[in-house]
Order: sequence, then structure tokens, then C-alpha cells
Amino acid sequence: MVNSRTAAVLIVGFIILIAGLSLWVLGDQTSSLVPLPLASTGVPWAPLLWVCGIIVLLTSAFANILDPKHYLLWLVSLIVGYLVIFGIIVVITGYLIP
Amino acid sequence: MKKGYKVTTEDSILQSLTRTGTAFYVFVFTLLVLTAEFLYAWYTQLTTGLIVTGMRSIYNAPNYMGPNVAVGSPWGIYITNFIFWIGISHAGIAISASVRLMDLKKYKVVARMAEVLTLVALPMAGLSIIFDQGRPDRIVNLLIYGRFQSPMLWDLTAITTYFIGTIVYLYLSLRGDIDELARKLPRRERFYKRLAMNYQGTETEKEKHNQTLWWLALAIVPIMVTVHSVVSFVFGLMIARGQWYSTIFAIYFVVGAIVSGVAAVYSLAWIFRWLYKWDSLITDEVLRGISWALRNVLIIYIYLWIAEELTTRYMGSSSDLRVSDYLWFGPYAPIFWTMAIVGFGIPALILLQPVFGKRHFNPALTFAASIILNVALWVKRFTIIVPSLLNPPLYQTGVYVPTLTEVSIMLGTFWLATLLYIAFIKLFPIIDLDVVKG
Amino acid sequence: MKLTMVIDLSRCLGCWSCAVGCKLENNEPIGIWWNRILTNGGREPDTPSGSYPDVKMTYLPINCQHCDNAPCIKVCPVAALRKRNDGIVFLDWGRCIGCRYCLIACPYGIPAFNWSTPVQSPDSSQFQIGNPAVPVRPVGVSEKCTFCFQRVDVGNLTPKCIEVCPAGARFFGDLDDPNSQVSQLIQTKPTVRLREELGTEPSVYYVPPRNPTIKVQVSQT
Repeated sequence: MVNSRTAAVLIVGFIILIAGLSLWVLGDQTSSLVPLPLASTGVPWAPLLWVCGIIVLLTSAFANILDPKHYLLWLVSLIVGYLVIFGIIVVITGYLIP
Repeated sequence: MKKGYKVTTEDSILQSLTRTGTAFYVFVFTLLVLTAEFLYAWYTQLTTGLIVTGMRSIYNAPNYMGPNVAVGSPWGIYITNFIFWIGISHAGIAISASVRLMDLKKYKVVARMAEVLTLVALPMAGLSIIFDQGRPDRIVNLLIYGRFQSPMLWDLTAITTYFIGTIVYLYLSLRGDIDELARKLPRRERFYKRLAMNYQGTETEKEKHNQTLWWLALAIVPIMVTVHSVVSFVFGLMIARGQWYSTIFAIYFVVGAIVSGVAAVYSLAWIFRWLYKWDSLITDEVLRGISWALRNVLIIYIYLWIAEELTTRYMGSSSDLRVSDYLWFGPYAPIFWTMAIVGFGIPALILLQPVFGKRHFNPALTFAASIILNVALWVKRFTIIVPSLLNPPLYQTGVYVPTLTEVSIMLGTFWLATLLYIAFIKLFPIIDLDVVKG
Repeated sequence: MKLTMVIDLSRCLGCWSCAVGCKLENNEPIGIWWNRILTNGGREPDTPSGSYPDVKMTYLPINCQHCDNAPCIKVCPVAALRKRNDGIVFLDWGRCIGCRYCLIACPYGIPAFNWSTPVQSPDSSQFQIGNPAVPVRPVGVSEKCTFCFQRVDVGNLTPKCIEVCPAGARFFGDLDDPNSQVSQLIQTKPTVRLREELGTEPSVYYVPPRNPTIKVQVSQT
């Protein structure tokens, strides 16, 4: 029922999402005293990985509708745009904060 | 374009793109001046620190060595503003879900303006959080070290998902209109042709769009519920705070957001109808339908609110009662009771009028009700956040008064939101052109 | 290793020596106190409750409780708050983004926040009063008691507050060691912890004050 291109994008998206979450959990140091992991510092940039996974998952809506060139344009724009927003805020505020 | 042009053709919808009068320039100029003031206030805050706000730590000692203490609220109107904008963002999916999933075609005329509201509201929510951070230059740490055990990371993930989802949804539903605009506005043809990305306009293509949009709308509904639930969990899971640690918070906030969103859609629909004389497009029937939905969710919200208050006051813990007493009888009491009686009571009465007969529905009065309701909801969220923080167990009651700089920065989100919304309506039709194609 | 603190409220004078010692040792700026002495009595500090001659007053020194089930660690979005193997809850000032969620989550109201550019008095760049191992924190980050990690790590010293208390009301040690002073105190005295019903499992125990009532004798002349 689901188109093959859409399915491919959905699968890739899920893999990236799960990879990001797993890397965070695996980098965790679980305290034996409490059920929730404390003192945790997962693998750096794992959160960005799971956010990218989500973005890929959502662009699956475009998979069967746009041609590959435009699809990639959207995908790259969304991910780069997301990072650029963070970058702009970090650079400008970093310049102003004493 | 003649004034009072009432014919329901595409040209009527495209008024927002083609018609640019003096009033428009005056309005935009005013907004730009206000934005400049907001930017200056933010610049002051960045270079001086959050001390320019009225927020303070739970325990502060004044600038002399002595044990006299002051208690303040570490969170204030920025976080209130964040919750408010997340609430407004529920407009988009509330309408889109009804239109596509429940096949209520008559509301398609307001679907796009609701979705654009979501598109604009979510960045404003994010901006409110940026204002609140002590070190916004380190927010990239959220992407490097972000802990998904923290409710704030659930916020980041859910809001990102909702935002990207809305962009994807909006582009797909806009694509047909973009292609149309390439033909209708020849001066901007290149811009629209590129944005349309090889749109062919065939029946199969349109069918694919509609199918995908249906699934996307279905996927976004749980995302929407998740977004405001995780925002509520930032507060509702805090065992330390009176009146916050409550199981009802998730649904309380979600229902409140739907009230905010639907009220905002009504406000926008009425404003556009008035501005562009779209009485035949945005009919009384459509407005009455939106006000019907608004009335029903408002009733549910008031019911949940009463349940919260009763639980606290009947046999509440001492920390819960302390917060409730502070709110009902303390310095914020005039604000609280005005909000409750005027802010919620009057809109409730106005919205109840149509129950007694269709002719009792007054669109303009309901518009006033929708505005009052959103202001009241902003204040309501303030009364949820600040009184609890000003009454920490173990310490005395504190004081929080937002400063002028703080208010200027907070209002900046409103100026920016309006400017962004205006930019959209100057580029794309705010009503789906499919509506007039029959 | 489970670092624990015991404070004997029957000995506490409310003199603030521990708070001042902490403030100097850790280069705390004006307006920020990691260690505070709350007055259990009247509204104003150093005032009793009740009416004369039946007045009641005790003191409650409060600092970070270094909880085993710390709410602050759970909510920190960037893992700036981490629990060390020796039990210390450490706030990484280099990573903190200043969201103040820890201030919200802490049931004891402990974390302090640098609302403006911190000013030490005397200026720490000119006079080295405090411990140079503790960096001066920048504007916009939270900070709190660290059980003087810089003293614990190097030379197994106790936190500064333990050292400077003139009444000998503060004790520090390893709860996992049955022979340590803190273990002995907790076994022999009726200790309590603050807001225990919340399940935070704090590492600071209090020996309750013997008799909070101060009976005032009016001389018969």
C-alpha cells in the first residue's frame, strides 16, 4: 500500500532516529540506586542525530511527490536550516554576552 | 480592485497579495518601530544579564553581607509567553484535522490561515525560551549533550517535530496554489515556478497530494497532543512545587491550548473577513461553527479548572493551599479574579448566546470574546507558573514584578509574529484557492 | 563511597561562620550564598516565634543536600548536573545554559543563579582569598554547594563549612564506612532529613534541636 520511495525514506528516518536515541542510552552511566539513569552523559551529538531522524521521517511525505533533486533540496534545507538557526543565535548572543 | 468587491472569484482571495494601501504601510512601519524597540531591550538584556528582568532566585541576599533575604520567582513572563504561543500553535492542526480527517469541508476556507498561524507561533515559542536562557550562546549544548530524560528535551523534540511537520504539510497544501500564482501574477512568475518544483497539476498528482495530506494530518494529531503534554510535564512532574504536582496537568494544558488555538482561528477569520470583505467566503455559518467548537472546549476547560481548584482547596497539602491562598487572596488576587470573571466569564456568556437560537449569534461580539479569551488564557498561565514559585516550602513568600525591559522583549514575539504573518499573506493566498474552484 | 553531612541543630548558634567560610572558599559573588542559615522562628531573621516570655527559635543551616534521587539531575536538559561516584551532585558551570530548571525542581530552593556579571568582594582578580581551584562563574549560569569537591579530591579534606564551625555542629564523612563519625552519629542520634516524604534521599542529616523553647526569666528586683 505504501509507495516504495516513501517506505525507503521512512525506514532510513527510523534508523537514524533509533541510532541517535541508542547512542545516548549506551553512553549513559546508570546509577544502581535509582531506576532512572542519573549522572548521564551520552555520546555527544546523539540528540542532533535523533532530530535528523525525525526530519527525515517527516520528509517521507515528499518522497513520492517530488522528484529526487527537489526532495534532496528540501531535506538538506530543513536540516541545515535547523542548524543555522541554532548557529545564528549562538554566534550573535555569544558576541553580546560579557 | 473596487472597494466592497464581494464576488467569490480567485481575484478576491488574491487581494492580500495585490492590494497594498497606505494603511498597510503605516501598520508595517509601526510594527518595525516596535520591533526595533524590542531588539534594543533584548540587546540590553544580553549585555547586562537577566537581572534586567524581575525574576530572581528562590533565595537571594541583597547586595550587602547580611542575612535579610528576599525570595523571587526564577521563571516569569517569558515562560508564560512560551506556553501561550504553544497554545496558539494548536490552531493549525485543530482545523486541518477537522477538514481532512473528519471531512468537514466547510471549514477549508479557514484551514490555511490556521496553519500559517501554527507556522508562525512555534518559532515565537522557541524565541520566548531563548529570551529566558541565562546563556543562549550555549543552546547548542542541547544538541550535543541534550538529555532525553529531561522534560525540556521532550519539548525540543516534540516542538521540532510539530514545526517540521507543519512546514511539510503547508508546502504540500500550498503547492497547487503556488503553481496557479505563477500564471496569475506574471511579475513574480520565476519565484513561484521555482517554488512549485515541477508541479504538473494533473489529477493523479492532486490525488497524491490529498492522500499524503490525509496521512500527514493523521500523524500530526498525536504530535499536537504530545507537544502540549510535554510542555505541561515541565511543570506537572515537579514534586517540589505546590499546585504543580498534579496528574491532570497534561490534559488541562492540551485542552487549554485547543481553546487558545480555536479562539485565535476565529479572531483571524473575522479579521480577514472584515479586511477583505470576504463575507461570502467566510460565512456566518463557518464562524458560528468555529464558535460552537470554541464554546465546547471552553466548557471542558472550565470543568478541568474547577476540578483543579476543588482538589486543592478541599483537603490540599499545606504547600498547595499556601499557593492557592496566595493566588486567591494575595497581591495577584485582583488579576486572578478579573481574569476569572471578566476574562472567562464574559466570553463564556457571549459564546453561550447561540445556544438559544441561531439569530443570537453575533460575529463581532464573538470576535471580542475570542480576543478577551486569549488574553485571559495568557494571564491564566501566568497564574499557574508564578504564584507557585513565589511560595517555596521552607522559605517565605516572594515578590515578582516584570520590568519594562522584560515586557518589551516579551511583546517582541507579537510584533515579529504579525510581521511574519503579513509576509506570508503578501506572498501566498491565505485562503486555499480550491475553495472557490467548486 | 557515600559522602554525607550531619548537622547538629542543638549546637548551631546561627552565627553564619559556615556560610561565610563557604562564600570565601568558593569565590561566591555578591548576592549569592551556597550555604544559608534559615531562622525557624519569627518572620525576620534572628527573631523568635511566639510571644514573650514563651518564645521559640532555632536555626536551620541549609545547603545542597546532594540527593541520591536528585530532582535537579533529572531535569537538567544538558546533563550539567551529574552525580559523582562519591555521591557529590556536581554542577558543571561550563555546560550550564542557564535555563534555571534546577532552581525550579529543587525542593530545598538551593541552586543560585548569576543574574548579572558576578562581582566578588574583595575582587578575586586582585586578592586571592578563595580557593583558586574553584573557577569564577560567568553571568547566566547556576551554581550551588559542591561539598567542596576541590578539598575532598585533594588531600581528603572536609568542606570549608565543617572546618570553620565554631560550635562543632557540622560533621562530614563517608556513610559507607561504619567507623566514620557520620555513621556513628546517624546510628546513635535521632537524625532527620528535610522533606523526606518527597523521596529525594538527601545526604544531609540533621540532629534535631534539643529544646527550641527559650524560657526567659525576668529578674525580681
